Amino acid sequence: MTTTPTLAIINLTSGEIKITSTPEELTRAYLGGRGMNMAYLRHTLRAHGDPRDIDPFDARNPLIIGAGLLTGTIAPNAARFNVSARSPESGILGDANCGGFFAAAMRKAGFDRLVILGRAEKPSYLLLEDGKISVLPAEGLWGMKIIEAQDQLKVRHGAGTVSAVIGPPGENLVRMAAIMTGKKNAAGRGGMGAVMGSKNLKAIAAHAGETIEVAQKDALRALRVKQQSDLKNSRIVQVLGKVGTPLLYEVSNRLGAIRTRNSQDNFFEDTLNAEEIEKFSDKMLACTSCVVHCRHRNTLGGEGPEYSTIGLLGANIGIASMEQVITLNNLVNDLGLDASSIGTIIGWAMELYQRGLIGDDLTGGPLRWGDYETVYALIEDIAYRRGFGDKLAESTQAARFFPPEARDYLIAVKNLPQSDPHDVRYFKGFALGIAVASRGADHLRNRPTLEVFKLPDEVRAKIYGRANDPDPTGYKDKGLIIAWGDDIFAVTDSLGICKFVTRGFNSPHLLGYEEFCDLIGAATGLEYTPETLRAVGRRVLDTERLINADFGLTRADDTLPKRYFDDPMPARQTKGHHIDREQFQNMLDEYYVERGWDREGRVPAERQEEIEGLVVGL
Amino acid sequence: MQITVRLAEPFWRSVGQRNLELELAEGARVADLLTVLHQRYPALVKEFTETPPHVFVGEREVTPETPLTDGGRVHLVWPIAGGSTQDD
Repeated sequence: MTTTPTLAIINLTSGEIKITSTPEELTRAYLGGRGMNMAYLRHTLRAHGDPRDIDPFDARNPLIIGAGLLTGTIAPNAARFNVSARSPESGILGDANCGGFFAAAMRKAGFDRLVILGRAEKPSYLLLEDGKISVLPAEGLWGMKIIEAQDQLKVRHGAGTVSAVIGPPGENLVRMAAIMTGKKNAAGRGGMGAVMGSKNLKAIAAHAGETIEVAQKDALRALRVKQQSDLKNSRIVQVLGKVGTPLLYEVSNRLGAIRTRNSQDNFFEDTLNAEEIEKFSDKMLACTSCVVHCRHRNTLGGEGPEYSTIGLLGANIGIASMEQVITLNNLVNDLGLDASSIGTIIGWAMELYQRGLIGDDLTGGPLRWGDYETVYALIEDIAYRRGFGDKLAESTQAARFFPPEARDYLIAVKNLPQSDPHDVRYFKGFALGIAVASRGADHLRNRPTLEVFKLPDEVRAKIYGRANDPDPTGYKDKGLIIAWGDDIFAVTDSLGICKFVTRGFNSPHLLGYEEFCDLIGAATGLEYTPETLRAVGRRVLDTERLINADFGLTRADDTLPKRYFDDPMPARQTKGHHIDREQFQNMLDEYYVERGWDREGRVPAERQEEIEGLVVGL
Repeated sequence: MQITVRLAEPFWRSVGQRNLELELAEGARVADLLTVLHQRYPALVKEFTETPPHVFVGEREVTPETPLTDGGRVHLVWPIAGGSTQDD
């Protein structure tokens, strides 16, 4: 390798900082980003005995921040990093992936990965600069919201400072608190912001230095030029650059697959179509090295919204005004909350109120669909843990405050609220995907979007490796396609590349294993074949499965919200569709076979030994 | 007969407007509607060839053989079903 990834182990309790390097064997095995984080997460959690004994807010819970192997280079869309810990929201593997400019700055400041342990005595922040790390007092920063905190760090350390910060929800241990960089880029899933807050850590500021050394500069530049040209000719890249992800709302809504009023309904108003955003959008923005430019800058003071936010802070809670949705989007981003979780949790609470399962004595007043003012106030109450907001700040764990049947209406898997607004009862592969996703209900671990393309049989066979049933509403062969998606998305996350340029996410073209091999070779000198690179993806999935097994998860946890099994979709094309329990178990069987796991979903012992034989080097 | 057509993203960009009113012969089917659209808006030929639209009449997805009726509302939707990656 040209350069060895630099790892910093920071103990906030003792103040000790150890700067070391990641063993090359581990880089070959996991690349970086999500994969490498998982290797360190498993090792660190097991170092103290039984990982179940480490509460997510225990100082021994590591907060791992890792850039992708290609992040910060000129490889297309290589901006991303992962944040990993035991999740305070789900209690299992916690992992969030984020874009923006922070990860490139972190690498250019000299660090590929931070393993943060312990708890600072007083609110603090980290400054990364010239290969050195300083722990500095966060006086004057603690209590600030996201944009203000980042602006203040620029005042202290210069305009070129790029930071990842938490807002009041992270400080207040709200279990769906995000770590944010820029106005909107969020390491949102799983409450990583609360883990950071539990360590009394307000921010990580990076002052970028030199560019990142690569193995073959000219070759990497040539790949960039070619791949950028190819990507810009792709229709999906062109459309995302004009409309962004909000284009998906109209598609899902017309089909009858938009989560509406906590999935009691499956379609909503046309007033949330993408064209309504154009009234509030003045520019499309990008992350480091991006060729897509998918993020709206809105005229109400923020960035976004994305499709997920439109769905979950719109249709899912009955709000039909785009202006109100954008205002709520800006609010949750500036507070530092996961829009997916908070939209799901508020929708859940609204249905509980509608059904009389909770009342004014708990909520403090009516909680009605579409009541914008109440929602706005409730989001702030969650962030500051006031009144009923203090209960909902517990996310899915708020179920303990409600009657037992409240869980029947919770749209979550493994205690993580579903990330995206797509009602998965129609496309069965989508349903299997969120059921088995390693961090809980989430579309970004394996979403088989090619299912809706009606691709020719031979093309599908070529992509997935064998002939497969083209019916997206059937149950057959879904294990095959989810395992395929698992692997390539794990590789993408480990390289630090955005899924919007990854083959399989909205296009059968874009960048696949072959192109990734070329990029890795030019950037690092490491040699992979498409087969050995996919094997990295498999190793990441196996490691994640082992982490969750340590927390006691079994086949029974690979399931879906009760509503998806028992309640048929009420209208439009999807009417009548639900998930058949027996067929679902058949899909699971097939999926485990594809993954090489046993019938109970366990990783074979020899594979476990192989993974444990890798030297982590802490 | 009179047919209302809604062109979702990105198809409308080849036409310049999102909603169209079209006059079709009695007995026309969805395939006939697509032919008329191709003739009037040649840029749509490339769009529809690259990514054949999902066609809805009212609330149901239909095939090219589906007959249309006067006053029908046709919705042409891009085949896509991904998600956001920004707020991950």
